[in-house]
Amino acid sequence: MDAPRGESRGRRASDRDSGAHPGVADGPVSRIRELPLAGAALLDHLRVTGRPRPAADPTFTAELRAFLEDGIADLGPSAPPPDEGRWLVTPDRLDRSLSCRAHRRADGTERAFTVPMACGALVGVLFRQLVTVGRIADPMTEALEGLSLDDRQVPLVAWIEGLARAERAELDMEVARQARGLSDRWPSLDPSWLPRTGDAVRVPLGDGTVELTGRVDLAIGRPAGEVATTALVDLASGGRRPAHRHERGFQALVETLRSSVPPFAVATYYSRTGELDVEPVDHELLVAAAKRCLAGTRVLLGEAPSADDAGWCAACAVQLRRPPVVLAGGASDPPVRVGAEPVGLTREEAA
Amino acid sequence: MSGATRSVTELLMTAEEPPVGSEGWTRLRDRLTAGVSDAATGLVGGADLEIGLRQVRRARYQPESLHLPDEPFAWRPVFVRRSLGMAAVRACADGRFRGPAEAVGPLADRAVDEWRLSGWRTFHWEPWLAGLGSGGRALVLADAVTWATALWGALDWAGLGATVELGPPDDRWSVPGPGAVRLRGRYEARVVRARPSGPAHRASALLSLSGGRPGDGWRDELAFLALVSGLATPAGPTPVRVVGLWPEAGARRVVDVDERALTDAVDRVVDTVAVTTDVVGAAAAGV
Repeated sequence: MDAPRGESRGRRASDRDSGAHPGVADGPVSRIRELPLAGAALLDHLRVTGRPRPAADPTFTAELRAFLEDGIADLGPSAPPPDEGRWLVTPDRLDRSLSCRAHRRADGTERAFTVPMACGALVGVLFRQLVTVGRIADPMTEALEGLSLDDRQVPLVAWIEGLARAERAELDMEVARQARGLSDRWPSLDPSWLPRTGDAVRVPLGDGTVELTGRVDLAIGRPAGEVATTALVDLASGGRRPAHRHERGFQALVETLRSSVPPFAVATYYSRTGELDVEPVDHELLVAAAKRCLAGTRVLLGEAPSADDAGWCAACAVQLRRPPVVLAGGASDPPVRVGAEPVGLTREEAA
Repeated sequence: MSGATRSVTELLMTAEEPPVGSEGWTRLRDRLTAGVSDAATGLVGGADLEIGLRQVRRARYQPESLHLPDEPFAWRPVFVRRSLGMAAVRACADGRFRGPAEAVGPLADRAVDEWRLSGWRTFHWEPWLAGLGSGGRALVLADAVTWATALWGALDWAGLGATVELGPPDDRWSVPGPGAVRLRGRYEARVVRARPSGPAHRASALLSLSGGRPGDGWRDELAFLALVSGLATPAGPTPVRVVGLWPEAGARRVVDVDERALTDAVDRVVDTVAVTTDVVGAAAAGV
């Protein structure tokens, strides 16, 4: 199956020049502000991307879907689907399935609870609160109250409540600090923009055994229209990581498949620093996201990771890398594709 | 108005399927009564059985869950979001608020205030919400906003005019016979239109919002809502179309209501009763 037609337009000049590898390209598309924005300036940064908002393109959306569905059609799952008869594909699972050998967790299990993870969950609840009611009074108490109402978070709440005093104090302080930043910087959102939080998205593929699934921290704009009017914001309580760009691409992809209209922008808001990374959504972003999603989904379904997949490792992407190159082997050797070697390594060193 | 909202609205406003006549409803009622009577024979101790859309779906997709003992009821945000969200959409449609995000807080506060003053519970959750801290309350409101926005954003309200009823009371109908099997239909909106032959032949289109994604039995499930509506209010508007939305999956399905669709829904109800009877009976016997 050919890639959807956005692929044929080639990579952006900025990507080519930066030498970034596919899927984690840096450059002007990801507009990074070093100083925290607040109020109207923050919203303008989200809403005004400098590009025309994409129109609904049902043909392209159908091509994206066909690309994914055709790409998994030949796979028979190696094991029964683990999630009530389905394979749920999430950004985190894609990251794990596409991790290179060096960054793959040995047991392949879900992440264990950590203080940063707890901080992320608590700040996420506070962000929902701020968007919905416009104020945060007692961050840790309110965040725990909110988290406790979510059945899925019961184990995390218990873990937080069992923290040693020093760790708990550290967590309380960081949550309070980030809550103060949120309150200081995020303006109230006009209700006519239809702001909503925690919006679940699920996109079944093929016979529905594989389902792309995610949850949008904040969505603004009418869900479906002739022209993209929706912006999606993902909240991150830690530092900026290349994986966030993959997550933005995934969110844009599933929203496009769900609504048949892409969001006009996907963004990550860093509550620790107040930075907002915004990416306008175009065909290239969606195609890159679809390719990565397909590669990761195939691994999730039991296919052995290929050398090509190493180029998608989010953890590797913290270092500048060369794009994958095809190195000619000996006369009888097939070409070897190397996509994960740090800059400057020879083929032998990479091996 | 976007294409998506226009098409959902048009689907609701242009349903033209000739309604099933009184003879057809009689056949459906007879088939349902006979089928349920057979299927419910094994119900332990003549236990009550209420069949709603949730039970219909569980019996098909997760029959093993039917034997699980019901957990003691405890309020959760999921039990509030529909009623509060529906109130918010209604208030927005009346022009009182610019969107659900503006509506839910004042509506929740008003409901709690009225309960405190009079003891009257409009929604039943007022005491629970009043007992939550500000963080818990905010999460409940946030869930209601998200739910309401899916409904509010799905329709062209100017195009619907005054013909739409939001969140009407559930339709209920008891199956005649020795067992105690009741059907309950719940949908989010109903559009009632006079048919050319006059007000005695009013037609309705129903709109249903569901979580998750449509299963392979979606056609019977949507027709089930029309079936219960027609049985519960035989003198009321005859349902001629059901539109189902699954906002999480961005899915939309439509059933034009004819006797065949309703017959399939009847058979699905009978299957649901049979499966429930089997599962509950097996659990009671320790199998």
